[in-house]
Amino acid sequence: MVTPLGVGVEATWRGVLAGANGVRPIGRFDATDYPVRFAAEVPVEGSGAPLKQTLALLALDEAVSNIAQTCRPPAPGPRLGVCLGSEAARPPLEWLFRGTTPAVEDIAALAPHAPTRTIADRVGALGPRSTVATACTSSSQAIGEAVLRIRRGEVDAMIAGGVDVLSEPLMVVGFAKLGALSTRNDAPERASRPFDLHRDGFVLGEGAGMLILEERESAMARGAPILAEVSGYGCSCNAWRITDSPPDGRGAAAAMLEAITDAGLVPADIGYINAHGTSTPQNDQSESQAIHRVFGSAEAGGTAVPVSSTKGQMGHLVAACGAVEAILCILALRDQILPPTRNLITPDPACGPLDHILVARPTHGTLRHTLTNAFGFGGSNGSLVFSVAE
Amino acid sequence: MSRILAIGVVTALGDDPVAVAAAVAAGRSALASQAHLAALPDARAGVVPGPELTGWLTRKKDARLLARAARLALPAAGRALRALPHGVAENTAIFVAIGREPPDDPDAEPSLLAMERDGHLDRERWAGRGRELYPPLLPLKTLPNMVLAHVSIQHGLRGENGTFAGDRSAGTQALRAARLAVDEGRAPFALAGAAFSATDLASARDRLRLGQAPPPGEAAVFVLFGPGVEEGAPPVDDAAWTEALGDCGPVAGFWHLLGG
Repeated sequence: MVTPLGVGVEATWRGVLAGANGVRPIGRFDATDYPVRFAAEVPVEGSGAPLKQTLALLALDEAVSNIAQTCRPPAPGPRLGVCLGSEAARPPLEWLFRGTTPAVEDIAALAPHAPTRTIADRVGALGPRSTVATACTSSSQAIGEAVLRIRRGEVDAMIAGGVDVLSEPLMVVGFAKLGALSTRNDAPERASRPFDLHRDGFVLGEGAGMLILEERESAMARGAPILAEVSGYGCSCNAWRITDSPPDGRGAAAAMLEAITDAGLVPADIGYINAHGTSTPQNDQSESQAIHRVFGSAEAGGTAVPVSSTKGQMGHLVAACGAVEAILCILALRDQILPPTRNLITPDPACGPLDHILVARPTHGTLRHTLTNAFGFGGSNGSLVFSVAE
Repeated sequence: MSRILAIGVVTALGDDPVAVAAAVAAGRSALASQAHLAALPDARAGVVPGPELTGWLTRKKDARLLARAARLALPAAGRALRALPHGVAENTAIFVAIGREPPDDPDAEPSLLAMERDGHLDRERWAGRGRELYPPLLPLKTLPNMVLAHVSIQHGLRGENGTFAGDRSAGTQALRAARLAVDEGRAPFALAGAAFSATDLASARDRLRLGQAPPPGEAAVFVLFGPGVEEGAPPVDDAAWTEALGDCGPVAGFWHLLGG
């Protein structure tokens, strides 16, 4: 995993638990006179499509080397596939003009499916190769698609995850003009504040997360360390508006319920929600309503399920957020501790009463199932449930 | 097992699936020299006239949010969904394939012109007028999942979904995902589609740089799956379709459904 909080799973996890800040003034290009001058950039050199490939490979290599400490990785060949969430990389500004002739391989690297090809070639995957490009839901759906392929017996193992790089001039200007970004230029470290009354938009982030998913028996036969079980997947469409979510959160609720049902669970079984929590006024309110629809509220006799959004620490990783936040859910199960939401000072009453996690909260061995949400522009919703491996 | 209930198409040879297939079989081609591609060594492309969106777009103001691929997709998806006489079930699934991110829209032209000096990027101009003119809706128009988003919003599809990106195999993946959603009982109906357009100047130029030989095309095909007995896919001569319509990216994954 590579995130604005560090290179590597443990570096990110330490930062997330500590409520560390990954949002800083943009360093990749001169943003002096931009409407938004900060982002959550990864601590890795590069930009654009080449950086995407670098991040994807860094995350993959870490996952493979973690496995290699105890057993051999999944075998290359037709029983190994790849499914990644990825969007097209934006071309450098210079390429838009006729005086510039980029190399063929540089143009090809911009395609959404370029990281999938890179990863598949690296691990020798000759099975299915899929790229899901559903904005912020991309890698959540990619993991879901990978799980479905394993359940059907089409493959033994899948590399699933996502990657995105967003600190680029056209993205910053475009999303700023849309009014989707926080403009807290005077205090970037406080800009991403999910569920806070004073939130004013999301922070563009970037990163990559890769998971090696494998059919249980196959993993056990290899002696692989099983970190968690992907027990449920659900997705839905809002069919509402391109940028807005329905205020009642019905589409998001449908995805959560479907994932919980798919896991053979009921809402009361879920011990932690890693919310999409983008820090935009509308998403957080709509998602809160969705959580209330599914879990009820403590006041109404429902379940006070603990909720946090780790975008407070690392901004919005868009096509990569589903994978990175899935990994955080797995780590919460592993270490029995729930990560907090950074910058949540004054919970927005419009989001209703939620059990917000403000500092890392130990669960003392009681956490069995976690749920992560990802909701995208255009109204695609994806939810995943992770469970302690039995 | 699922079966195909309906097919909707928008191609440069028309929007009647049977007639389009017959035209391809008869060797007709829609590839023609295009004035807007005159600067390129090969100015041919398979361009769809229109398309006319009246009747396919409830909120007219949403037209400003539609990139070319989405404009092609709406009528094609609408025609496929007409097969449901009682309307669309809320949990109908939708899977879409796209070949590449839709190209930057002509809306960006004024911004590009304002930041250019002698054919090159002038960073001072980008910092000033160029950025000022940069269209705020452009990121939304060009996100890969916007075809799916517009179709789902227009027709109230709220079920399982996904946008697959890539080459021709993305079309096959969308078809497969939709069929399995019905077969595995996760949706009563499922719409699978692909939409693609590479006939604008920037895309056509990129294709030449990439050495992609067939002239560019554009098309959208949507297929509605429902419960029933699966129909076999007849063999199809892909080359005949490319000669007739140009390279239509992942839409080619659907030709076998029309070509029998």
